Amino acid sequence: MGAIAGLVLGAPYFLERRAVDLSGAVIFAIIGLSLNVLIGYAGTISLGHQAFVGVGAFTAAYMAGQQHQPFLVGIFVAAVIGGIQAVLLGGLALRISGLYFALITLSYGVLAQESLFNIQSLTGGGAGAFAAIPTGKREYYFICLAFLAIVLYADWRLMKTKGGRALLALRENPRVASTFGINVKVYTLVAFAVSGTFAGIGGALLAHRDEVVDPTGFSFQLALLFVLMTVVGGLRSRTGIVIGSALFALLKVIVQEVPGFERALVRWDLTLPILAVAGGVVLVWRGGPRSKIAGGVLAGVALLVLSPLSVPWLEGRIDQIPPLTAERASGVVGPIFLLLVLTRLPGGIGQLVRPVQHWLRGNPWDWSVGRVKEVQITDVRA
Amino acid sequence: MSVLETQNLGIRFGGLVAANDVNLRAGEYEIVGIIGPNGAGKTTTFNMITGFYTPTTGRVLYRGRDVTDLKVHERAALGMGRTFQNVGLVKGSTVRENLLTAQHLLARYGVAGGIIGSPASTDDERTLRRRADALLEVLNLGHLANTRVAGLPYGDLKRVEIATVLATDPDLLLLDEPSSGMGPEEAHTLGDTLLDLRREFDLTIMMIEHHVPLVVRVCDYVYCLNFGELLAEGLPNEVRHHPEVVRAYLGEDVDAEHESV
Repeated sequence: MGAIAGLVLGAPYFLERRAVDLSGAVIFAIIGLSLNVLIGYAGTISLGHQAFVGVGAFTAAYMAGQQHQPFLVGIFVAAVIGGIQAVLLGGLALRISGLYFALITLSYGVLAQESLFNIQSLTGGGAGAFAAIPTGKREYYFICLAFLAIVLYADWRLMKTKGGRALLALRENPRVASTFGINVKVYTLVAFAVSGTFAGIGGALLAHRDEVVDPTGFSFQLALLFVLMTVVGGLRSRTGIVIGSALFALLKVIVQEVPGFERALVRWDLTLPILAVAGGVVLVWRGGPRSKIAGGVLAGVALLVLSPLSVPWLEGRIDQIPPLTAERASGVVGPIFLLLVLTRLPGGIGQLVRPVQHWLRGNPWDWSVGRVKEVQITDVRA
Repeated sequence: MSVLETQNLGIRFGGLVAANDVNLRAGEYEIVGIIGPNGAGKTTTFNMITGFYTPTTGRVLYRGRDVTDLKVHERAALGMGRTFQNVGLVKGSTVRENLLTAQHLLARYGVAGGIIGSPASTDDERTLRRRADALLEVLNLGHLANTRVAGLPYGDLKRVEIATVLATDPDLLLLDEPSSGMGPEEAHTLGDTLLDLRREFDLTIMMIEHHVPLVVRVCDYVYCLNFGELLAEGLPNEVRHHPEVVRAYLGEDVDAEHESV
């Protein structure tokens, strides 16, 4: 525990020039928790979460830039406005559900980016709105951490009390929930309110970190990244989501800071076959009879690609594919992680973390604690 | 005044008449049984009583009040509790969490109060937890409190479901096949449990049940439904031997009926 605390608190000191990225990781964790309330707890979905965050960001920028309000007032207002806009959208979820509601959230996100965030008087239009960072970059990281702590506390309390229990019940079985006296409609809106409030806080922090907010920053791609990091982190696992979100936010930094990583990515035409050879060898060594054959073929093909022998039809084609850069890493790593989670690790990172938590509480080590057997139907019912 | 009364209750789905002219009555502290072959409209009737279906005709009266237009959760707040044929529990949660969830209306703090951790919320939570554990003790389920519902055997699920619905603090309990999945002995014990619970919690119970010995033993009055209509009603032993009922529900062969009962 101490080591983890040391790592989190010390990060901006030994990675000083990355303080801005580190703040981003903390903010992403807040956004991941916000999305988790909708997907994980209430069993609905938001594919327009970049708009939730964007509303918070522009509200904070408006409060700071045009109303000249102090930083904390801006965050507070952003949280409230974020909650309100989410409830308005959530009102639709009461009438429409499933795939069509997902489609509506998606459209809402695009709509917000194209119109709402371009209202000149409120957001500065395409030029962007300005929100000064209230402290030094390193100190700002700790402000973000403080807000993450608040969000974590609120989330923990929510799930320990009747609101959270009502959400879990209505996600799994709205009919049963209603026989418990739970007003399913009201609690669906509660989920949106909480999620929107968290997202508003995240957006406001993001605005002040970047000091300038402009509409192009809130594209659909961002919403997709938010969903990816939440699912990969592990729905309903606070720790998993914090780790998952931070991981996605820091991918660029990790790629650039770990020696050799970036070069390996850029030369993926070499890296990939080398990994394939290694994988093939492992399969031949440990796998069953069928895997041995597959491993042998894999390693053979990979060696052929690596060898100076020229394969005529491959020649020149590999070079046409642009090298992977650190900037684009999340676009490639994200889907790979998602695939792994959906097939091999349904509980996401949270599933890996739970045995550790169990062990830290003084119990004997047990890998099977918190194992999730499959992605639950209700998680994709949306 | 009766606790529950349905007047000419009927529902049609498109051209199909699922229930027609169903008149049921449950007096204070009575245990009323509903029997009938599969597809007779028993669960459909339950769904109209609890508010999942809106009846095409007729009314549902709860303690003399017309509740036909109330939502499911509003009827729950009046004191209607129900169980489901295929077990109405939150399967991803533990047994105790289910009982806590079911006490939703007994927690008087708001969601926001819970989030900031108001003193009222911590007080209430402590009370709810104590009450949940007490209920589990009453039903001899204390040892399962921290077990996830998903892994429990069917018989245990049915008993946990009864504990959970009791946690909602009902006046009227609507049980949909409480003994399904139980052997004869378990069903017998369930009969004792139901009689005990009625005394202890001042309950009125209406239950759909196939297990005839259980119905005969605990019910004060029995209705038999067939093809969505009332076929017979009366004291358990009268209904059981009613020729129409024997034909519709227990098969043509009366001798075989005696063996199976």
